[in-house]
Amino acid sequence: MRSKSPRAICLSLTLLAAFVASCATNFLEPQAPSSPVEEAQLLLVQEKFADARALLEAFLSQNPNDAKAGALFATTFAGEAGVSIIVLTERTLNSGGGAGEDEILQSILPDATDANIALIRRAKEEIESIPEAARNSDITFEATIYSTAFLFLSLENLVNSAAPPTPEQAREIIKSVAQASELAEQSGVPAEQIEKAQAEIANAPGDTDEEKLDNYLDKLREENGGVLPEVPADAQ
Amino acid sequence: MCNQKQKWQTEFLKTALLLVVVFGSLFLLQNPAQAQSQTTDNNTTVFPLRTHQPVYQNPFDLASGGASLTRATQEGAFFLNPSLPAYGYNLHRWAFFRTQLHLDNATSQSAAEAYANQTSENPITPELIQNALQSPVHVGHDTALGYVTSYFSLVGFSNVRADIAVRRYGDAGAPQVRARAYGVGGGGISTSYALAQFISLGVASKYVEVVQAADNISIEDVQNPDGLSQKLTSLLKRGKGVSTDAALTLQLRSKHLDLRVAGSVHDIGNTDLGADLEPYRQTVGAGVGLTIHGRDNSFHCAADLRDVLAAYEEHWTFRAYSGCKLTFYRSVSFGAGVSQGYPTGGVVLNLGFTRLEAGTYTREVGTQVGVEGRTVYFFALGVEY
Repeated sequence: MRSKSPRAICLSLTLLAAFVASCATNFLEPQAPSSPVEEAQLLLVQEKFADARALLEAFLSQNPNDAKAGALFATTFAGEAGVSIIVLTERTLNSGGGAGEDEILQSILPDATDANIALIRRAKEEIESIPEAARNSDITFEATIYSTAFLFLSLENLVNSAAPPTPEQAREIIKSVAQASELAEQSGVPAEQIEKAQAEIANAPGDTDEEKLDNYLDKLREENGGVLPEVPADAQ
Repeated sequence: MCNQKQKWQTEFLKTALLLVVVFGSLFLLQNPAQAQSQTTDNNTTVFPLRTHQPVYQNPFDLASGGASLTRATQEGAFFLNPSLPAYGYNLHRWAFFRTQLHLDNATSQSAAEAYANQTSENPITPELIQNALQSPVHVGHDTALGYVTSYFSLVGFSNVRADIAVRRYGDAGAPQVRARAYGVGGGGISTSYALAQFISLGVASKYVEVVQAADNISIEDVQNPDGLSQKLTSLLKRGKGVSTDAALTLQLRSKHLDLRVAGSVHDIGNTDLGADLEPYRQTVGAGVGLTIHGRDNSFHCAADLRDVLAAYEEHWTFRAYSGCKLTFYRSVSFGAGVSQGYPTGGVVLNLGFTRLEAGTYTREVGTQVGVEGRTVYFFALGVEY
């Protein structure tokens, strides 16, 4: 007599498979895409800054009040410029408190090219556009770092160019110094270098902001041969 | 003889239909709201601590792909399919004690430092954080003891997991430390009964106490390890409850070939853990396994799909398990498989009363399989009779 065992087994398994297929699970569906913010975070890790920026731009057009997404958007510019807060954190932990955060930041800044300065300026502007009431401690910390990075890169660029600053440049630098100092105080970040720069610019000879800044830059050129002071060895 | 066999096959087919009707009814009766998780903020990336996975799994089962609904190791049956012990010949099965350590492949040094600092007031040291900046810290410790017979089992268990990872770009762009710790312990009893030679039922009930903490920690707190430790302590949440599971296994058995189909329901009616914690959600599992065996050797392959109804809203790749186990003379076993899309492997040595297990598996802790897998190496030591 013909055995029905294989048929019974096959039918049972087919019925079970049909039940499974009828359930909420759809095997043909791809994994649910993560949110645009999560995708942007992954793209940043992969250093695909432009792609991350495009995603966040589209997200922010629908959610303009999302402070965290706005800060992440600013990070795409800073990341492309080579300013990395994670590297800053690593160096800070390594220093064990031997150097201020602004000093350590100086040691990890990228080259003061016009392109990098434009990117970090954009990062600074984007994060400054986030209302203070919407900022958490992370956003305030980022604002401090981007302002400080912009300040140092701009100063280095001016020192290296040997040309006197324009009135616009002088106003921007002096405003940045004040902003960086204020933000550092808000976020509790040690900022001796910023305070020193602020004091030296204010006390430099000159009647106008651009004269004071020009004389301050000349002093930096004389003391350091045209580049910003090197970071002490124990801060590296 | 032929008629008896035909009758037996017909009964099996009828039972399989009954299985489909029963679980289909469960599906239809499932409250749709249960499948809706708490709304997730797209900008919140604190990954869920509780998923479809059971509160405890035998590590060799994990290393064999995690498909354990149709064949589980010792205490694994209690947590995954309490109807399994009904199959077999002896009343007494196992009395066992087992302890195992799980470590991420880059964690051993960090774990040693954390262990050395555990008696200090602040176990979160700058060195631990620096290690976490380089690679995630993942550590776990499980213990289980119990007594299993063909009719009932008594099991006690505990497991602890900690995972610390630094996200280079957090929710707002600044780095964040994602810290999660989870501990569960308890005990329970199960009963299993063979209705016929091809169908068994089982029910397990266990008391669980849960402690967990999870948060994305800002970079400021990271640079202040004292504050970080205090913050983590303040995040601890506790809960307790009673969880009930039920399972059914169908078996076709011949001299050298066994086919099993199993279905299970875990956390029936959801397991309430109190006000501070989300309940364990009711999940349905299905599995199929094929074993080729002689008297002392066996080769078993299985595939499971857990949480068939996606109560935890995980993609199916999170819930799919498959693998094989090869056992020689009941003394040495090798296992390999695919769990959540990652390869697994392990080995077991039965040395009389002592059982040694070692192996590796990968657990996905990200939001998508393949994004953030933690490759875990385990070593387990057990005593059994």
